[in-house]
Amino acid sequence: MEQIIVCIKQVPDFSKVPDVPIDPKKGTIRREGIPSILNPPDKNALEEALRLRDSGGGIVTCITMGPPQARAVLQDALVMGADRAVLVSGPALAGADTLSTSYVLAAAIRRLSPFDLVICGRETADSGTGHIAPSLAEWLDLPQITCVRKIEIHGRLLWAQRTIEDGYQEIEGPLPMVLSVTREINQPRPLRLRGVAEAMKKVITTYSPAGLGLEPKNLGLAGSPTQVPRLFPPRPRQEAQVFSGSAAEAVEALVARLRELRAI
Amino acid sequence: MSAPARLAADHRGVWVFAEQREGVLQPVSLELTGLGRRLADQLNTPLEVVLLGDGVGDLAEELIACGADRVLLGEHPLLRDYQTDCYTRVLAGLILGRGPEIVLIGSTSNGRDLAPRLSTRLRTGLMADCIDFEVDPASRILTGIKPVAGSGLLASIICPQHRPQIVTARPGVLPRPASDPSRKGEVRRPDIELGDTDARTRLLRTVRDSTGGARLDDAPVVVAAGQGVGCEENLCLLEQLAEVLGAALGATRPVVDAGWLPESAQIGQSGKSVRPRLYIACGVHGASFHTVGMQNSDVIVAINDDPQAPIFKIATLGVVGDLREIVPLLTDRLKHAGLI
Repeated sequence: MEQIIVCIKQVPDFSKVPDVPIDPKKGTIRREGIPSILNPPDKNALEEALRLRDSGGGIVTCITMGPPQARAVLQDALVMGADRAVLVSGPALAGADTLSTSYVLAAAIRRLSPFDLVICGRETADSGTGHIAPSLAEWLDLPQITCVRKIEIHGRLLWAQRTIEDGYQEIEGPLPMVLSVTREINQPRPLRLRGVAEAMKKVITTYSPAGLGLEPKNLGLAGSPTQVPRLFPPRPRQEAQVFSGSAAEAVEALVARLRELRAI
Repeated sequence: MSAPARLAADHRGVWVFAEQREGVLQPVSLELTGLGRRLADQLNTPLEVVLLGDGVGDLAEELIACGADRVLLGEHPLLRDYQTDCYTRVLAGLILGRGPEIVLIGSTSNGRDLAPRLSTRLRTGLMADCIDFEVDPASRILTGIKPVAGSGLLASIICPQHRPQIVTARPGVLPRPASDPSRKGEVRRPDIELGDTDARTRLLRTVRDSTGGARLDDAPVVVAAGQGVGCEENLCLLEQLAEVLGAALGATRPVVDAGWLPESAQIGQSGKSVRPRLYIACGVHGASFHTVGMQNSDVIVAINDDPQAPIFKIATLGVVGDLREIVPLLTDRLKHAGLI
């Protein structure tokens, strides 16, 4: 293996706040005060890349697109053991949907050629689309396998187990390839103090959209076909409907209500 | 990126991608046919369903009975099982040729593999994992409603300029349409040109879970064990309930820490997040580090002997009582009522 590229993202840690604050005027999430973390499934993507590197050689490059503060997740990745890190950043990128984001990331990945594998986490914790891996594969004209839970590499052939609803599939295809991995694939290594010292010696390279030769009309909000007009809380959950009476009566009423709700 | 191939106004028609596996239609494909029928009627345009496979022509009848005006039946040995490259190529070719304004795809493992690749090839937007839809007949713009992962919020999403408007819809949230065997429709067989080099990955085999239990991540129904289960032996009551529901078994952290269930079953802040159609919490107290991983489930049932347990604050339905009594009764009721 020459190089494995891991796509990572900084996401808000919603688990740290009781209620997600909405800006009532803009209809967007107010991110101030919400801590940011490395998207958890991306740790599995990085862990798998590190394992493949440790057994098959090569280097691991982490890449993220985001504002300057997204450097923090690249630093985490370097501490975990990535060899180098790339931040793709610029004001024009703000508001990008998954088409525009994948377009920019693909351009940056091409700049990092040659590579054998691009690995993404299955989906992000904030938008949860899982679009980036297939979209990258399309821009890069490469084969893809999504939701991978096990990988083996035999020469230039990659063998994978892919999670599906009721089991898994075994799929093989040639390198280079784009993968997304599930959280079952491995247990990410913890951050170690020694890693911090080593990470200090590594550099984070920054790419700008102009430096990648990208046209402004394809970037950020302007380059995004989809728009999110508004965010809103779901209708507040009504107080639980609690069934009383004997256990048999309660179960009978419960089943009837579940049926009405189309839950069974 | 290049500009869209044609103007939005030139696109007409609602399409559904019907997914079959081993000759069996995925339930979400019928749900989408029902949705597509509604949207097509509102837009006064035909509903066409694309069915890809090999020797699957018999399925067209069911799609027509559920609302399709026309089934585009693409058959080829390379389309027998879902394969990213072949399915994308055929579907993109059909879309470019005929120019639908809306394409609906089920958010299954295969739909989630296909839809982003397809929308990227067509340089259009993709509205992911929607649970509800509205269309404005005047502007012909489709609005998808989707949960914002991890936040408990909903978002409306649109793709105003680019066509087609492609969405993936979560399985099991839309009603399944009534089937009318007397409905008439047309089956068209477009030419399919595929060669062996078109498929860059190869499916070697598919392995079903030997337990028959659905996987936690994608399970439409989850039965969760909390500390109130009391002891490992009582877990079999939950397993039996899960079995009749086709549900996956999940757990809170204390249950996993006690070693009653593997870590892969853990739901919550340090475990998995699930969003099933139905979540049955058995003996789950409802601490926030658990509920953060399941609170977006559509229907939450709490079975707990403590009426003050916080789980009742987020539950839709509840039964206060001894789960050792309630759970077997529920299992029995579901098993014998023929409801499932």
